[in-house]
Amino acid sequence: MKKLLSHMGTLGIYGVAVLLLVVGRVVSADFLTAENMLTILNAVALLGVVASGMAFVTYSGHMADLSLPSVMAFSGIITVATLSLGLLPALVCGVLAGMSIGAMNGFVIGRFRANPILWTLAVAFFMEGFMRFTWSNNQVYPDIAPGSAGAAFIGIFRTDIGPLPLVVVVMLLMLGLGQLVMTKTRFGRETRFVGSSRAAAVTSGIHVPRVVMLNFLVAAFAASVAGVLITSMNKLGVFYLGQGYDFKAVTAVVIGGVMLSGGRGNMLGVLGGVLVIGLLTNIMTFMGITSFRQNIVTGIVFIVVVGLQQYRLRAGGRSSE
Amino acid sequence: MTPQRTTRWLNENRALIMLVALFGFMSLVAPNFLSLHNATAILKGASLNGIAAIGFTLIFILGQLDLSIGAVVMLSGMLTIGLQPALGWGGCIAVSLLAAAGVGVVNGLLVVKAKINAFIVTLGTMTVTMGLMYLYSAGGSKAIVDFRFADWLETPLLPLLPPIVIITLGLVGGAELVLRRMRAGRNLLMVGGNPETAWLAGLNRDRYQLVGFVLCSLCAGLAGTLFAAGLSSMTSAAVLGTRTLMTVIASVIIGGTLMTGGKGSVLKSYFSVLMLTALFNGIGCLGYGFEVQIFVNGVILALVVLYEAYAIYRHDLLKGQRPDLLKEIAEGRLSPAVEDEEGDEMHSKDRLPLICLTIVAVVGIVAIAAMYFHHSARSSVMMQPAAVAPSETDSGEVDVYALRGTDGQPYVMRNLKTPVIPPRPADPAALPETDAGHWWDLEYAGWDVEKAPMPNSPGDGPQGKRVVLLKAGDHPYWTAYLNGFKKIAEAHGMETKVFNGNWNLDLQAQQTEQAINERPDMVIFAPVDSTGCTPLLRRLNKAGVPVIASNTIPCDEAMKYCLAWTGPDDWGQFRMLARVFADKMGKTGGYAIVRHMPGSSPFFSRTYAPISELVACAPDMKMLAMDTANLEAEGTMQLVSAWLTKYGDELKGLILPGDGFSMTGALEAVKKAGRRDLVIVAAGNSKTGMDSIKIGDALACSYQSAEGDGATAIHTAARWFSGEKLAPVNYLKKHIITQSDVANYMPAQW
Repeated sequence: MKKLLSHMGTLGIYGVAVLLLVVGRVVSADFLTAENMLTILNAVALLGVVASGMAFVTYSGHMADLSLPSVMAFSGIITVATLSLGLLPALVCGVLAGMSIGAMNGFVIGRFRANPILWTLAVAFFMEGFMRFTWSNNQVYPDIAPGSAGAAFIGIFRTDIGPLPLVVVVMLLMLGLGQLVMTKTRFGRETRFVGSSRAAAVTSGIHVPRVVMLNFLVAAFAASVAGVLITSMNKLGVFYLGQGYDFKAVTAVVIGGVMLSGGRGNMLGVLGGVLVIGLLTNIMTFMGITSFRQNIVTGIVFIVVVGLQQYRLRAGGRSSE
Repeated sequence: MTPQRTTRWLNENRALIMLVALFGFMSLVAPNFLSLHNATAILKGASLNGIAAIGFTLIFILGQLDLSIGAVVMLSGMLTIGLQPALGWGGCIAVSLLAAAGVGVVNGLLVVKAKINAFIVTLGTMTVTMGLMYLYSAGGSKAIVDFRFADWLETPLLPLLPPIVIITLGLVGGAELVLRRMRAGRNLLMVGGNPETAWLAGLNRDRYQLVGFVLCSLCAGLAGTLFAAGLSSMTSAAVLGTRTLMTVIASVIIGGTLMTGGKGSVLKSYFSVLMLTALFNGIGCLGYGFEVQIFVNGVILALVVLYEAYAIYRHDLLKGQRPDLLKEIAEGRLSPAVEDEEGDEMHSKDRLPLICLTIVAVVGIVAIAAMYFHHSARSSVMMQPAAVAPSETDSGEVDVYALRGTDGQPYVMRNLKTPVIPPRPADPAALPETDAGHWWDLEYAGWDVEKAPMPNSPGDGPQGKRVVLLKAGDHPYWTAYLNGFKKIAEAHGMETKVFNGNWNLDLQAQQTEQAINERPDMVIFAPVDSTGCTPLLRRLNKAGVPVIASNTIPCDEAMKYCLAWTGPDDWGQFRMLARVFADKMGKTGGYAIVRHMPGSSPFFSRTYAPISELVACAPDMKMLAMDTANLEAEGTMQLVSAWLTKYGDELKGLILPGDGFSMTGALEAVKKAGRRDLVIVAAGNSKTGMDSIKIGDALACSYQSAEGDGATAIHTAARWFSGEKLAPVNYLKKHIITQSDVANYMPAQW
């Protein structure tokens, strides 16, 4: 019973999701079809992948990693640029390249306790400069002749596994894996500890710099995967791919019940947050609400949902925030 | 102790030291940097971010954060210009400041009373405020034709000091004085630095925080108002807001204000805003682009953040240590006990940086290898004879009309047909949006304008002339544009220098001053914003610099100040495209339009040219929906998928704002829904789009030669230098690419 209650926080978002489903059904008969649900999943898949990594950063009490868009762009460009080595080596190179940024972030923030927002903002700046300079502001095209590694790379985004597109499977996999890591492993528990109280974690002998470093590494890994996917989708790599995914991902993570102060929430909630964002956009498009007004509605829903979550925790005496 | 004190002093005054050092360095190495005009330009350029940074410093001192300032800057600016004709300057400034304060009150109440984290609150209000701004401006720009106030704001009263700078300095000085000398300011510092002491001292923390949020928004609002007033116009391109937010965060941190609260200085924040402005200016003078500017900006910010973190880290390590004992150990007078155990742990910890360094090194090698592979792959492509060798005329000059670009098409064309311009309706605004007449002022801007006094052509030809290009921003299109531009400049023997506005009106305004400072023979101006460029073109004209506008067509008012405009006929192209589209659909059925980025001129041309054209030529066709997806593939896919579900078979055709990401996203949605019968046309022409046309996924795209765009601009300049008379509007070749002739335009330029 107690456990159920503690899950209520994250499951609350599914209440919002169900509410949206009902509203959607009222708006249009075509809304509640398998086809449209798949459309929604497909639309938020990349966001879900990025959010699965961002959640670790937030969970560990480091708010957000603003360098994730540049990680996405970088891993994509490197993948395309190394395609001449073959598909698999290129993918490995791309993901490793993205993760190197995460390693650097994790090291600086874990070891020296640099402010995560400011440090990752600085990294985003100089990575943008670096990528623009190195590739002279150009798009990098893979060679997509049939049978080449480039064609296979382009095909990644366009692969279906059973009824589901590969991206959706990747998202569910990343979120599921994230849930397992977060709740069932030592690393997950240590992250929770660090997020709840860094000082207590230090005192109880947890090697905090390593935990923090791993968190940023996980975030960069997820963003690199998303970067590879988005590059595969766009059929080219360029420095501005992934722009905006930093704030979008934080929004999904926080709406999903992961507290910005750290140590609270889980991946199921993040999935809920991602779904709510997808449902909301889809319904508003169905209703013919233009993107200008969508901005306003999304912003208000965001504040209200997160505000309610915090209010509930405060009322329960479980948060000083 | 002295070296420590020196370090501390250096650190405390780092913003000023960096500013002085940078100014000295740039004066020595950067041509044209050290001049009265350029110094004034830097001071003026720092006013928007400088004023916004005042409030942001206060909010940081309180230990809070406000991500909504960029959006507030844009909303206030837009309200100022939008309401000025109705309310006059006093009224519109009052209203826009009230609106800004309103956002601040909402932020403050949600943070203080509802106790929601400021990051979340302001992220939410940022989105809402941007939405309000878009709604108010309908995604377009606003402008007024009365320049008196703008002129007054921007003209120096004393050397270096136009009123806008005096206002900025006054506000910075005043805020600093309050913060240091007055009770309210010192209380603010205490509330931020030590809430408990503040509580014990009887200070109402909530009230200070609420006031802090309101002041922060007010400063952002005032910054936006003055910026818009100085330009007599405002853009709704979101990049202005985002870059303002990012620059202000960076400069407040570089200035030494702590994000955790309790420490900070408005004056130092202003110094670092000045430093960053001077940095951008200087790097521009040196001839480097935005990539170098943003890189250096990132490095400086990273170093500052790292230094600050490291100082605390060192301090924590030394906490509890006794230096006198350490000295004794070093001299061997005291043998250290329990050394072994400690050493072991230290050892294991020290592996961490090693691991990181290894990863970084490995990745560095991978990146370099990747670049190598990429370039070798590139150069093999380049080996093909892409460009036809220039043929020489009798006089030994290069015949530019014979030069061909990477797609095998000529860069510049001779004597294109002048289109027939319909008469202007008496009151375009009274006509419905579906009527072509409603958009007459946008579509036929510049044809019928009485020009301001223009400089006379030297008449001695283009050889050796110095031309400055102010380009709108970075995009693969613009890389190709620059290729054509440089090729033709070279053929004419002209020198060029390029400034990149990065889609940011604020940056382009600063670069206009820089361009004047360069004293070029000609400026080619590619506007970031079609109305926002008016005062900039006017300034160039007043400074006696001949200007040719390029690419985005400026509004009528702005066309007064340039010799001519060259670029694509976006409206005309989309009318042609719409007719091809209608023919294919049998002039019947429903269609939808994905719109371009709000704040850009194609946001209107690529939406209303096809709508009005189709209403006229295929009245049976029905426009079902239109919306923007910000040119992103995922967004477009999401939008088109939802439309396909909503309208089903009723939806038979799509008009896209671009054939790159928009095309990719739309095609994905179409394939997923199994609707390959959909007729798709787009603005062209990139590799992605032409590939899709070749294999039949899309019907057609417009031919807009990026290289030709750049080439025509500089070629028109050359014609003017030779004393030729220019038409006010010079369109590029218009053409619609379909499957039958797509091969003629490949390989793609970008």
